[in-house]
Amino acid sequence: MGAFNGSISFAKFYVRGELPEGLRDGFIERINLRAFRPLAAEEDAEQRDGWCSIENPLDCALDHGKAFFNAYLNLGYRVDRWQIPGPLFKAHFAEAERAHLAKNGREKLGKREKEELKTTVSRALRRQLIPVMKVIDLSWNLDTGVVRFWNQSAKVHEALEELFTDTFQLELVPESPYTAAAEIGLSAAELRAFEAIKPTPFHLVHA
Amino acid sequence: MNLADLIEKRRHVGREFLVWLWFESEIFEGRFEVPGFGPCELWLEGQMSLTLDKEQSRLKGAAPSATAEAHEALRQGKLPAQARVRLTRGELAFAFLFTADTLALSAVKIPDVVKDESDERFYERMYLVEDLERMLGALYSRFVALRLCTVWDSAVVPAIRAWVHDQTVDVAAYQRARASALPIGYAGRSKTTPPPALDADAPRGAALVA
Repeated sequence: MGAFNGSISFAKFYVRGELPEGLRDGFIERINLRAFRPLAAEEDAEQRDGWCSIENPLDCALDHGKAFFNAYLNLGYRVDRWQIPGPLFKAHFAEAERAHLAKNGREKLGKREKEELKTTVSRALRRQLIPVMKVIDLSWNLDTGVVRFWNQSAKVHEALEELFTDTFQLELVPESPYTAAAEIGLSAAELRAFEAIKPTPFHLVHA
Repeated sequence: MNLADLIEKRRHVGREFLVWLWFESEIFEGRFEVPGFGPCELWLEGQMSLTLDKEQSRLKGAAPSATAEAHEALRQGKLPAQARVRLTRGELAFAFLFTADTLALSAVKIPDVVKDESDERFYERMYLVEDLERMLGALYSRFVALRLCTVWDSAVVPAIRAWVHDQTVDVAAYQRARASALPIGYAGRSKTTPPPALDADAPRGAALVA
């Protein structure tokens, strides 16, 4: 599912902050600074996120043609994560542990040795696997200041908000009854009145 | 209160909005006059969930909002947290799952997109999604205008309570009261100096509720 085809399910955000002058050139530079970089087996990082082309998640070198669609800035939010199946890791760790203990004539691993062996086994397995990739479409209407993000997980939203702010130096405010009310042109007095609203008990027979 | 608190503590307004849409769609038989868009039809259909704290009623079927169970859930103090909504304007038909706490739209069905080329298809999809959002925004704006007005307590809530309890709703009186609410952004909204009602029969004091 996504902006171009498939099911339409998205979370809406409002962009807060001043858009810079010459944003199109500046944005491409900033996006490329935070473009997705593939994970390497030797790294400690378990996962990494970054921007990619909305039409090709393997293309992380973005230019105007790939990112700007008239008034929209379209990006792929890519997250790769090492996901070693538990039983596979357990089997390889047990084998490595036996070999290590036999080599050193010991019966049990120390705490530090165990951690080091876990890292060694993880890295060896990573070299035989490829990370799990997840790509989520993002479409920013630069005229209205609205971002639509094709995912509704609060956890993923947190990560997106962080990357977005790092990239554009702008804040994403999630849609909600309050933020939507603030968008419809309430006067200052109306906004204060909205902030003071208490829940209405509809089930009571009388007030 | 900071923005995060305001967002969290006013989520109940989304559920009240959904109750109001449900109420109006029943008493006006689905017919809505959406400001800036003209006549539309809006129905709750297919699925609905109502919650009160950790208690939840999940209803499914052709028209779950019309069932006795749905009204019983309201009488228990539950409010709709999610509902599938159908909205049509002329030949354009939209359907979507609406989540009240976040105003999020999911599983959105838009009118058939005719463009084949990828970029054109994107523009057409976004045009239709934004069109739907504008219609919902207009309805939300009308709801907020009512919600902030004295007619909310004097006329809207009594009418919704009567509907919740399967009592007769005086639709004409409700319409008059609704018409007296001032549009959003009206500079003269004031608790102390209520503006004149637009209709002679409408309740007086259509002012801002603080």
